[in-house]
Amino acid sequence: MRSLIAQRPIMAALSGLSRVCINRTAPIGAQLANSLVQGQRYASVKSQGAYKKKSKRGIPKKLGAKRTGDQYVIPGNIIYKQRGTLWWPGENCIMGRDFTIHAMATGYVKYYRDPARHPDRKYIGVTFEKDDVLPYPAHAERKRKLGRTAHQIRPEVAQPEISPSGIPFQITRVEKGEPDRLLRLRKDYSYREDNWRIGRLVQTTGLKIKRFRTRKQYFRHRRWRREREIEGQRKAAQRREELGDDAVKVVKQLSKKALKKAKKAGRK
Amino acid sequence: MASLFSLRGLSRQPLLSGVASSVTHTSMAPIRLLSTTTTLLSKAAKRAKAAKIGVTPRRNKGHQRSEFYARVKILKQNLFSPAPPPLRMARLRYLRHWTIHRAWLLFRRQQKEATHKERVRINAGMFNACEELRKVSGPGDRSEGYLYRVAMEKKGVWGLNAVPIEYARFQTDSPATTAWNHDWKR
Amino acid sequence: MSRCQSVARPLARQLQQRSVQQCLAIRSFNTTSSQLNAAASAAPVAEPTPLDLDPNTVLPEFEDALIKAGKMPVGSRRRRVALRSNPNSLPFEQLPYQAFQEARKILAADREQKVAKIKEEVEKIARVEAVEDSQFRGGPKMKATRLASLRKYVEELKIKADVNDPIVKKRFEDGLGDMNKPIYRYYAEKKWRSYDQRLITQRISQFHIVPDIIPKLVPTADVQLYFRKAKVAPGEIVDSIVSENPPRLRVQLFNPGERLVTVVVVDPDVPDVENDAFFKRCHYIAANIPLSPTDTSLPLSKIKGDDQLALPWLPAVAQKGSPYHRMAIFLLEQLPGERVDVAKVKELYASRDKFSLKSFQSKFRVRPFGFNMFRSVWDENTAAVMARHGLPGADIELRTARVHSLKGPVKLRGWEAKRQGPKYRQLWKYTKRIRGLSNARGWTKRK
Repeated sequence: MRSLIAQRPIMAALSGLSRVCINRTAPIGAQLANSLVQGQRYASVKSQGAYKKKSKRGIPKKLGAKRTGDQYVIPGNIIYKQRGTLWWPGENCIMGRDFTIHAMATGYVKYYRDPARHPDRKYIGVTFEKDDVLPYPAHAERKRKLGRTAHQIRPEVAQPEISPSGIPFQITRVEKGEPDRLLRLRKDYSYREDNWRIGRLVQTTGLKIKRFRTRKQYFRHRRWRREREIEGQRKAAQRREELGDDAVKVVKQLSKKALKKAKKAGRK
Repeated sequence: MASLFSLRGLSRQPLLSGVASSVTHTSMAPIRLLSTTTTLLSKAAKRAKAAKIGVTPRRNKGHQRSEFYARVKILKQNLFSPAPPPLRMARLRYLRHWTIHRAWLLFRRQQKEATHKERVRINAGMFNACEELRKVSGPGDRSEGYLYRVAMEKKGVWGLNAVPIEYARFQTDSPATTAWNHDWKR
Repeated sequence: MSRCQSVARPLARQLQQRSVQQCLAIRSFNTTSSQLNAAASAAPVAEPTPLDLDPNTVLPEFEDALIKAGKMPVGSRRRRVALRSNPNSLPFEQLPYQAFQEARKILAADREQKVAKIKEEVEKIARVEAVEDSQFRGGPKMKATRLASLRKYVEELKIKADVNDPIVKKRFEDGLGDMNKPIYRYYAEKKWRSYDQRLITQRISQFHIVPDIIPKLVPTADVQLYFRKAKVAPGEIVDSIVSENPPRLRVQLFNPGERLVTVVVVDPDVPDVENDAFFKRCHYIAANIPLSPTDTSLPLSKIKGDDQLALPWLPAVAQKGSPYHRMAIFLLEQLPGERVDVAKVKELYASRDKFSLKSFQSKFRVRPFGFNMFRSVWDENTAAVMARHGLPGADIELRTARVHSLKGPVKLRGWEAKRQGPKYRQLWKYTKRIRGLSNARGWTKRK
């Protein structure tokens, strides 16, 4: 295809040339314009060779099928890598973030179409049996595997309360107005709270650590605050202008407490 | 509801026009009343020259409004106004509202059905009359259906030997901005 | 005010109020603490007045007694108090609002028309019925079709006659609607279809009830699930100790008439470790339960009849490590006038395992019409429940089976790996016991 396209201008140029040969009476300038219009390129351009160059080879993305039909796969195996959804995940398959299709069960890969589900889409599925045909008949029970093994539940071994050295493994510190804290015996015979329990303590205080739930909220707040500030400054400037020079004296806003204090001081 | 809502801006209208025509001092007064500035500011404002603050009128008086001004204004108001608030009523009031609403729907439906019935009746009457004409032969030695054919002719409907005015115009995809240029002279 | 006056005044006031309270049976709002104390000391264990026996005006303290008596209080508490305050107010339909009264006139006229139409249609039905089958144009089949369509039209008219009545709407909203009447059933169905029906349909598809247990299911009745008086949303995970006892179903039918119903509870997620699969277990079967639109309560624990209860309730338990168990509750409608042979059901499904609802359906000629479900998982009470009911498997834990990689083991590479052997004994102090890579027994890090 590419070669065909590349040949196009040459053919056009050829035809242009032939017309030049026939039409002897036409003025030379007109002939030149004609050939330019028809896309003729001269040797000086052709020698540069730029327009005929193929694009450089980039890093290969290694897309395509990684498993063929009826091939055995285990969960997590990549079946197909693609850009966009050439294939859709069907039975026992999932699609990853970059449209890669992974197997979710051990079985055999099937490439199929399911007109009942979607008229145009192509699906990749995994069946437990090699002979199974996808899609499964409609209204048939789903084929599922347990994928688990049975084990005896080990009874919990009771931890002795007292350590061999005669002191308890853990003690509870009860402080009034504080949550109870469990201190455990360490290797160096000290009692200390578990680090993860210390971390949990923050929740009991009811402190609000973050003023904003999200970063977006914070930025929105900052933007609003700035706008308010600018608006206030603008208004203040306007007021100053209105009042003129004689009203430059600024009355400082005093809190009630400060006013009271000033009054007291004045009385003395 | 929407029609009520569209009346929102109308109360403001005379006030604005009054402001535009009246003296500027009074026009500033309501604005001053609403302001929250301190007494210091108002004092200073009194001292400031009146010419500096208020004389610049909001709209120049000689400005000509187009004849569609009022219509455009109402259109704009209704186009860009927010949706009316939802109805909030107590239970029994809502039930009464619902009753009235249902009755209104029923009433309109009955009206529509009645007009439709009437139209069907008229149409059927016309159809029967035409059938009658089609079957009749005469007057004189005219063949059967002569009267029907004559009745179906559209001659003279738009004037003597005339064609409908729509066909006199060059047919376009969309209507012209002005329907008919009455001032045109050869 | 003199000193002695100011001392005596509150005392006098208190006395006054006490006397007032004694003469007034109705308790007023307390404003002062002294008054509160006085009221507490007096402790008026109020006796129910006639107003308190009325479900429209009962006060919160008398609600329980009324519920025990079988009457549910109507509307909100706030509304009931408001009704108490003015019992002699005008009835709703006589409220003097002009537009409202005019609207009522229009609606009443329309109702008259509809009723006349119904009479006409009923007469028409009688006329059609009077005609002999052979005399009817189109034969007996055509006659049956004609009658069916006429009856359907009458039903429609019955609904249309009352659908604009505010009193009917009000009564339905108060829960006082008589479900024998088509209009209330119509309202109930409309309400159900607005949310609950959609929810249950979603649950049927998202929990794969439809291909897994039954090939087709279109619910046509409202089924709600209650465990210990608390409503359980469809698909909710229920604690095993809560689901130890059979639930109560609230079934609202939308078509008239009494019918017999079969209830089946199926768990399609019982793990089958040997075959690496699941099988279905039947947790409950009861048949021949009469149900009609008016009686909505269906407590599974109360069904004890010998010709009704086939399989008693088996608690819903999930083994440790098994995926959640879907407990699907089906209501199946029996053919009119037909009874399910419970003895045969008992015989067939004595072992509850490997149950198939599809085959049950075809064997006993029943049709599913109602559905609800809950889920159960392993929790701290499950072991105890299993022990109480003699269910095995409480000591077994299911763990995810390991799937080994398709690739073979990779030969270890690197300077240390090369020098693990006895040939490099002199280097072992450098190549062995590398934290995270090896220990005294050799290389530990995989790959």
